[in-house]
Amino acid sequence: MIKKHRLSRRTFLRGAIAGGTVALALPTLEAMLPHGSALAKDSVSKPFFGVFYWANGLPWHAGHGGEQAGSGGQDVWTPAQQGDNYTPSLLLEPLARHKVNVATGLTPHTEIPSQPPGQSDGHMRGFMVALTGDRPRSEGFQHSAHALTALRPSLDQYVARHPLFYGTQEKPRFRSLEVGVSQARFHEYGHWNAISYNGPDSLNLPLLQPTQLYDRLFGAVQTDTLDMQRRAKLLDAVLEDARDLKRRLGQDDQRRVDAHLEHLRAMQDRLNADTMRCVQPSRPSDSGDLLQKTEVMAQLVATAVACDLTRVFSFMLTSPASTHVFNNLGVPDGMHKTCHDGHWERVRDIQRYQMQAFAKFLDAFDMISPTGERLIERGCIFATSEYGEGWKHSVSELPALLAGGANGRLKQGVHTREPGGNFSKVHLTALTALGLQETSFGFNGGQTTETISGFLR
Amino acid sequence: MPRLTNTQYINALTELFGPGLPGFTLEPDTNPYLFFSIGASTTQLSSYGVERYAESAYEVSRLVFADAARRDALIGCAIAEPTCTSDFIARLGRRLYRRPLTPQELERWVTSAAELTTPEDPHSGLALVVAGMLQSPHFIYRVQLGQPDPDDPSRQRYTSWEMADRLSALLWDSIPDEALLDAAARDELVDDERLRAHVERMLEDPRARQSIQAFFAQDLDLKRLDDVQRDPALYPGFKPELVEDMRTEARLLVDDIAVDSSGELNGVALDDATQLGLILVEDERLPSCMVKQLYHHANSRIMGRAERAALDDLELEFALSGYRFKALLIALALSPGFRTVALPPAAGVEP
Repeated sequence: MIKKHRLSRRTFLRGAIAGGTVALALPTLEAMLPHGSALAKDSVSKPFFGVFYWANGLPWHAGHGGEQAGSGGQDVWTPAQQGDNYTPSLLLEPLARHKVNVATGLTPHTEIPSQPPGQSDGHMRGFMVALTGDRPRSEGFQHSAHALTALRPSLDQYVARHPLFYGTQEKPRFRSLEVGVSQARFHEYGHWNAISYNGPDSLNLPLLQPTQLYDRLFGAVQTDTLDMQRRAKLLDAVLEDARDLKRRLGQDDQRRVDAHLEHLRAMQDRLNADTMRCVQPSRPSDSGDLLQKTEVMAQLVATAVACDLTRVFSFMLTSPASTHVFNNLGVPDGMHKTCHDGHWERVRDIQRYQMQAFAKFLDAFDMISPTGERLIERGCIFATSEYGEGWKHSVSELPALLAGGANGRLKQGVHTREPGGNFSKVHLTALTALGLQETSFGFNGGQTTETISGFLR
Repeated sequence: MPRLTNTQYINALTELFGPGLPGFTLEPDTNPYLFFSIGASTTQLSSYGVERYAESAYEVSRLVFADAARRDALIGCAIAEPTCTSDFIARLGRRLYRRPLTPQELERWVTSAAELTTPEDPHSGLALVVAGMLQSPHFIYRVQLGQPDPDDPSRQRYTSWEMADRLSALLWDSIPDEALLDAAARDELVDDERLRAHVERMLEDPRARQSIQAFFAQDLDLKRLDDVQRDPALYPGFKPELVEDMRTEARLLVDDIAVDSSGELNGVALDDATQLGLILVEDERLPSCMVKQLYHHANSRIMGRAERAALDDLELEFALSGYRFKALLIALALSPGFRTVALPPAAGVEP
């Protein structure tokens, strides 16, 4: 265990919350890393990838369809100019300091099978395309029950499992992290709980409490080397049990046990691996509102990336079709109902607030690396939602943002617009920025070979 | 192959190791549709989910082995005795895996206990083995492989061991007790009359009440009550206690009409037309719908059209019973659709 208590600078995030305090030590990357170590030299060159998700799209306007045009709602998302250094719109103002790239006008191009009916539903089609580049799986789809599953991995898992991303060299302790904040759910089941998928019926549910994430990253067990070795040895027997079982099962169940085996082996690798390679921050509190918890969680995620504990993450600010009540904004009902009831101004206020949260999230990646560059310069963070707007569930104008420099591959502060363009162009742009050498992305009618060239250097 | 739901997992550990266990932070149950039992048979565990099982296992083991009296009561013999370790692992294994351990499994865990014991603590190896067996997929998953059905070559019959697991999951949301495992060892749970006797015994157990409550809570999606919030300025009549009142009302109603059997599920007359009461009274499809839902739940998966043919018989028995929910559970447990599964058609044969 490396315990170098030589942090000369610490900043503490503090906010008065119901008489209490949220506190999280924020060590600079330079102080956290063993000076001159291989980690410090290597990790700065490795890109990271993240997904940031917010619920219920944007306030509706004419770009979403004729009925929306008649509602009188203005487009408060699309910047007036295209190209570099665009002037942010009302909703993008909170993000101005981060110079995020924004692609407007994009929409899903995936096919919509006629059976079972309802697969055009904006919620379900929208968030599947935004996150996976594919439509929902038809098998088992039930519109009335809102039952659905993904056909393939979400983009974060696609990246995390891509042979060129982690490669064959030593991998971080966690292939990916899944984190969220709001606990409100449209349904308590299935894909309404998560934005990270390994494939059909295989969710990576987000950790929703800072202490949960902290314990996973910096848990006490990692301090006892002997205990870790004995646990690792014990897993030999558990793995043998699992392999015995797998041999007796049919294909579907074998896949489930395979996934279980993979996770057991990863856990064993973590137990056998070196102990923590950077100084731990102090344990955070679980209290706070949406913005405060976003700050705390983002700091932990950024610390994990800085310490090379992972290089892939997803962050679900609010869940798909969220019922979160933004009563701090004077909105009395859950967000999903607020959209359905057509309260344009309330939806505008909520989405501006969610962009403030994204800005807070990006703030955490502003820490300075040993080479003097900001951590965000290594990363590519893709932010999206589930459809264009929530009043009529139009998937037109599905929002897409790309933040970060991707080790110099991504420009910053660019707006491009392509009404009706294939949404998967932004996926392929992110993959290209990460250096994954993909020539196409998107599935079942959603394929594209085009990137958003204005975003790439 | 279902996985234990979180409720089943926690109930199992409480039965095996006694009350006072730490609060477990497991990966939340999820499901694609309706019931956690269905999600448990289709969804895959995430990396974090596997880690949480590991941490829970170590927490339980630490707690039990830190208390010498509790530890010795669990082990049931002096560890210095030559067969104590083996006897204990075999006994614990039968409860955890819901069947006897194979000779290879027994040897594997006995060897692990010996290898992991430290000089300072003779129980340290066993403590780790308990944590290991709690992480085994044989405990976490409900393995159901079946055997040829002597009455129908087109179907596979669940073994008595598997029936013990199926019954305890459905009726108790837990693992089988020793009596049910003993019955399985005598191969009684493939016999109509003896199976009925065990089901009736299980329905009289307080665990059945909890399990029935859990079924209705999921069927009626009562979890959504957790998210009921209203701005008091706009809804002055709304009080937080109202949510708890709604929950209590639902629980009492289910107890009344489904557990205590003082009423019928069809056309139940309520003195005060409550929200849940209205749902039950006004939904004329309720008995038929409930049979279908229970059938999906009991089998931990969405049943196909052909499989649902068995529902006609269940619905008839339900009606004949006066729409008594416990009678429906007995009929279900005895039905071919719960005790057997159709074999896939041979290659080249039209279904």
